[in-house]
Amino acid sequence: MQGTKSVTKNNYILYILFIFLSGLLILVDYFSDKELSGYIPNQVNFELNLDTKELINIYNFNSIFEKRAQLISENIRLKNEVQDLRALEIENQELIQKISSYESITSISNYENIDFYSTGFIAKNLNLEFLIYGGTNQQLKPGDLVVNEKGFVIGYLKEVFYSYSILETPYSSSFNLEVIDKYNNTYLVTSNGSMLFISSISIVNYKEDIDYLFTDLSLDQSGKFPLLDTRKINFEIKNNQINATYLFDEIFTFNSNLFIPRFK
Amino acid sequence: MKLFKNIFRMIYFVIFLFIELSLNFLVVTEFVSFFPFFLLLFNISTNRFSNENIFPIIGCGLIYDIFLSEGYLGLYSILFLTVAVISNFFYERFFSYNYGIYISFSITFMIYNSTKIVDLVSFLALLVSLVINYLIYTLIKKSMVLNV
Repeated sequence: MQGTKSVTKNNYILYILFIFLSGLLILVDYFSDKELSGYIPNQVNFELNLDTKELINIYNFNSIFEKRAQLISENIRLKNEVQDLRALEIENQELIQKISSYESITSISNYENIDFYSTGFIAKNLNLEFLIYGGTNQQLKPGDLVVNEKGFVIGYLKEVFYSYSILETPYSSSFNLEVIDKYNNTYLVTSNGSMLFISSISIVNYKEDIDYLFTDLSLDQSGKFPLLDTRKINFEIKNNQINATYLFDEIFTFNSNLFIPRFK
Repeated sequence: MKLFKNIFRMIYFVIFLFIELSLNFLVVTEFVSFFPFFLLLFNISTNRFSNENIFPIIGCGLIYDIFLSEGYLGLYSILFLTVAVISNFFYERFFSYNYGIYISFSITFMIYNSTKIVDLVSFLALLVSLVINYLIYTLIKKSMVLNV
């Protein structure tokens, strides 16, 4: 009994050895681009060149396998085609979305001197910061603004790596951004993660119809993009200091189209 | 002599394989498939497991890969060898248990047909085929015992 078991074990080893050898064969075939498996089918002609009528049955029998082989290859071809078409359809939908978002962003205002680098979310890290595509390979740098498809600023780049960057948004408590209104009053916008705090830095000429708070070139930012619609925000003026708070909802989703404005 | 024996064995393995392919080609419904080559493989692996079967099995797999599949050369050799080893291994393990043969048959049957499982329907179809093929296997086994 012991002897039989050891024989079986030896057999297993040999079987496994030949499994590995077959694996080697797969590798060779893979790296030779199927030269090995395609060699014999390309060389051998299976058609029988005999005229005898008795062999018709053999021919029919032969054709069954040919038909099956043809059906298999046709099936595989069709399957691949369907997969390709599906991939194309998805790509097409993505492109349509991209075009519409580009259209919406270019229709907002005149950004003739600015190029928009389209990006998207990759993930959210444990610090509630968002990882987005594009880094030093796209000549991005820390501080670059990130806008949504409506042209509103949703954050800025905190850290830039080779192919991705970390986006600082109002969801992060370390968010802070200097902005300006149309009367050139400057403000500092900070966040606690759920609420934005707006406090003035310098007041030149304050009027109530400021409408929007913008980023600006004069603040070393990459263009004039709105950050907040202030029409629904109540500003408090005290001792020549303007303060306001703003409870923000969902600024973006993972499907949002993001753009990083860059000078041409 | 050994070479001729191996070649002869490979030829009859290949014949079984071709019978299996042609049978399943002729059967219209996907819920019923017959696997004579698998039955042969299971039978020789459980009753006469030896090194002499390696070359015929590899040859069979290579022929299948060359002429009948789109996969890489050696893929089906691996599958057939794996089925042979696992058949023997589980058979030896579960032989003393109730339904031991059925368990080992089912496992190896599923491994043998693993490339065909693409969705739930194909899996269910294989389950039906498993029962049918197991019945055939037991019938053959019983008839072999009676003949002896």
